[in-house]
Amino acid sequence: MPRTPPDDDAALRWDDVDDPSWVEAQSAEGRGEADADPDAHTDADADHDELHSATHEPARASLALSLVTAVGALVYLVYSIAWIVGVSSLPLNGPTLVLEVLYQFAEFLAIIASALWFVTAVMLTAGSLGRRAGWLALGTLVLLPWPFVLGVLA
Amino acid sequence: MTEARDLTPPGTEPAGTAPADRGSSFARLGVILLLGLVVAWFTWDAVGNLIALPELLTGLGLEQSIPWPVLVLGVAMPAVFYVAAVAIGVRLTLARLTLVLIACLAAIAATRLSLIAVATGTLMVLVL
Repeated sequence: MPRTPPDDDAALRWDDVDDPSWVEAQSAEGRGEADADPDAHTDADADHDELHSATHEPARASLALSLVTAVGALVYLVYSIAWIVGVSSLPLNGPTLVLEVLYQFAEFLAIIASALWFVTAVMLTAGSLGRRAGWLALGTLVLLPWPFVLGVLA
Repeated sequence: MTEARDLTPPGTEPAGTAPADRGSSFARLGVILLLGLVVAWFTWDAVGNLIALPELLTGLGLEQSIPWPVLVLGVAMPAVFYVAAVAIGVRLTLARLTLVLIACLAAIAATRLSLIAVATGTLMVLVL
């Protein structure tokens, strides 16, 4: 009886759907996703009953998260531009060289503050819609570019 | 703070064997103190304004237009922001703690310029 030749490339392919490890990998991936955003579920508990369609809920939550992040990115980009314009309108000069350097450094920090706040908020609130929206909203209040706003109003 | 100490108990193992991503509590303290120096400078600058600006305005005969709330806020704000950032970041990894603290420094710098803008803006309105 002729033996089937061993398939030397079998270990290099991922296409064997019938292989048990394929199924395990898929279910492990599903578990990983569920573990990744437990906060999203607790945050969404309030309207959990209305959105009870189990298959659409994770997709909807991740869409909302992406939407909040995108809107936040846009707002913080505008803030960064407003800070660049606003800082250049402030006539601050240090009386000595050391103070001048420190003042310039502080102005640089103010310009990058919006971007830093956005990156930090997004990094630390992975998978949590409520907390991300809250931190981004807080940042828009704290980092309101008053030098620009007052310059526009004046 | 206590949680961070519990995770890297001092004396149980050499500092080099601490988990690389969490960092030792010594490194955390170092980062907090180092970046705290910048906060100290912001506070020093604000105290300088709190002392110098009223003198200047009094010399010009503008005692009524001294922006006391803004000056006092300027002194308190850096420390308040930094303490909040340390409270948030101390439970995180060393890299994330550093990120939170640097973002806090930037927020302090931005708020400082906002306070200066508000103070000079109201002064201009009052003077002109």
